[in-house]
Amino acid sequence: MSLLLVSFGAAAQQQSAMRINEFMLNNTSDLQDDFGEHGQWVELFNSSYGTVDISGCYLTNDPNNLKKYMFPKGDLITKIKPRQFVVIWADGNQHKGTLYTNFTFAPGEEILFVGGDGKTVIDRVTVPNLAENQSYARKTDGKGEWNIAQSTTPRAANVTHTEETKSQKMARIDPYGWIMALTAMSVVFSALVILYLIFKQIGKASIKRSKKNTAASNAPASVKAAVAAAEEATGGETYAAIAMALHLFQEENDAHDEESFIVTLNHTDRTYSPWSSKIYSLRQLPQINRK
Amino acid sequence: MENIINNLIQFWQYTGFANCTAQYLIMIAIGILFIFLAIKFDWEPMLLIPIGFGILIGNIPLFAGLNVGVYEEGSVFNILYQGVQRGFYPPLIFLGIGAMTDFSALISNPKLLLIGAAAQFGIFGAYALALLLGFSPSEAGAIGIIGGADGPTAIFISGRLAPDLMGAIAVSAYSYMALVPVIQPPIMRLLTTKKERLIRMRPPRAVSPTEKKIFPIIGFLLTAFIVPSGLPLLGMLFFGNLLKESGVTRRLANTASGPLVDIVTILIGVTVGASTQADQFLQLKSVLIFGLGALSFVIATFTGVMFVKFFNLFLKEGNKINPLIGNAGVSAVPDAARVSNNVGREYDDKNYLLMHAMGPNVAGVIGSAVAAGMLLGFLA
Repeated sequence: MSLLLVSFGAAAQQQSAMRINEFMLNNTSDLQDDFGEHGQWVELFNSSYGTVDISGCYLTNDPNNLKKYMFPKGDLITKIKPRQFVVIWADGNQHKGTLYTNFTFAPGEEILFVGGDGKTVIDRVTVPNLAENQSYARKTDGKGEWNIAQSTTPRAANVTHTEETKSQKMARIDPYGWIMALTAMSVVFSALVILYLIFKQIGKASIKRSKKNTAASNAPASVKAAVAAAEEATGGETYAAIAMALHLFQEENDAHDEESFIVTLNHTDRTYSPWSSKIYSLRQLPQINRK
Repeated sequence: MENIINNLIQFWQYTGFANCTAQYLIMIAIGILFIFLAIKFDWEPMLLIPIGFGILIGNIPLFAGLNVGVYEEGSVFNILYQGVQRGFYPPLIFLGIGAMTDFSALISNPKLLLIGAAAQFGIFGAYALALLLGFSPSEAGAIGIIGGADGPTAIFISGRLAPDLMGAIAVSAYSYMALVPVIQPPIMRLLTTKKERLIRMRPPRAVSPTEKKIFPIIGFLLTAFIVPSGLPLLGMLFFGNLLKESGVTRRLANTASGPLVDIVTILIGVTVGASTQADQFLQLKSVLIFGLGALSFVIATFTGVMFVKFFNLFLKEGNKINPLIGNAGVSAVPDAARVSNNVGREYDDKNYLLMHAMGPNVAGVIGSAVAAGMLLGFLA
């Protein structure tokens, strides 16, 4: 039972992938919290491709007190999904819930995200002077320079892409798939036709070279003629005839047409006994005989 | 005592029995059916046993947070599933296929390459039909690739174009590959006359080792330059073949075509099976995908056979191609070629089409990889 319960907490731990991504200093009419209030907020971004549990990590505005606010343990909302965001309210009122800090921040101060050891500063940023409802955000999520954002994007990517995807473009210009089918099939055919032409020429060159080699050899004319004829018409029947000839030759010269039926058991001196061998204690793999 | 009862009640809630729904039972029945078909009828056992058992693994009812399911991040099955999701199993399988494949039939008669190209109409026919049924172009591309009759390619493409549909697409592709001996013969008989079925093709000439060594190099450079987006598949396919044909890397070729491909086949089969979790898999979309998958095989077989008949109009007597090898343009190697041979021998017991059919069959592998590259280029 305890194993089952322990497995709940087995989320990947990659706290170093967390980044401070955006924050707002002076919130008067921007994002509201669950209590309908406007407060300072800090957005964190999980830059990894795995879920990160930030419980036990710290957020602070004081480099001399890295353990100022600890993300509580045992709450599922501290598990941040891959490439996702979380907003923390920095209104100095920790009693409001899990993601409310016990401090606020001011221009000139720093915001620091600290790892679970309470010592490692994973990310930090200095708070600039910001007008009302202006946010300070990274140009690219999780990395790069900071700037004053054109529009605030809490719990969302700082830069959103609105261009058409390739699939949407195809849906617009080729709703029935004919253009795609014809284009792709022409490419497939072209690739294989070129390959065909190249190997046709290589094949011709190879045959020519093979004939030249035969002609240049010291073999008698009759042998050359036979080889040339065989090369012209080498097929399954020729190979079958050769195989049969070899088989008959082996049959005639080998002693396997009549077995002696004598079994000889030789005594061998050795300390190792097959009775203790592992291979004899293992069952053979079952086989299905199909006829 | 009360604590023990409470614990037992709590434990019961953790069990599969408490979380089971009819959907899970349906999927478990499908998994058992796959295993049965593989053992009883020997239908693609190397694929259906791992996939079938994977379906059982993926459909044990779990409660969220246990961190063992294939979709739960960081779980063992989720880690193994990354090979499917991020697409690194399919190129490894292509490496093995390259190391196993003998391209001699194709090199000796390179015009058979064109049959491999014609059969790719199955992919784009299914693509157009999927669009008509309301799928997005990305989803339609991923569904269409089932017509390439190539499991690894289907997984590779669906992982990029429509990851949500990958389970249904992979299971559909592998199921129809197993059903090639059932789907193709009636279409082949329907489209050919008795006279055509009796055509005896000229035996292939002996191919020199030099030609075999040149083929993977030129084949790769040409196809990869034309469709760079197919690089992972084309690169590994031709690389594997060069390992085989170079004559100096026998150990590497043996590993690629033996233990490596076996390991990846086990992993890909079991994780694809496990990805068919009932709540993700049992949807109307999956039923449509199965229907479109069947149609794509039919179209591919139809176009392959019809292309040979058309091609024969331009070939001299004695050089004509038996249209029964047209079906082999789908790349289900070597099953499709075996079907050509078996149907051919039904009408002439001494007409062995196997080696001739291997030409379009391996050309189909190249063709479907090129087609996959095109889909990625246009839709990814």
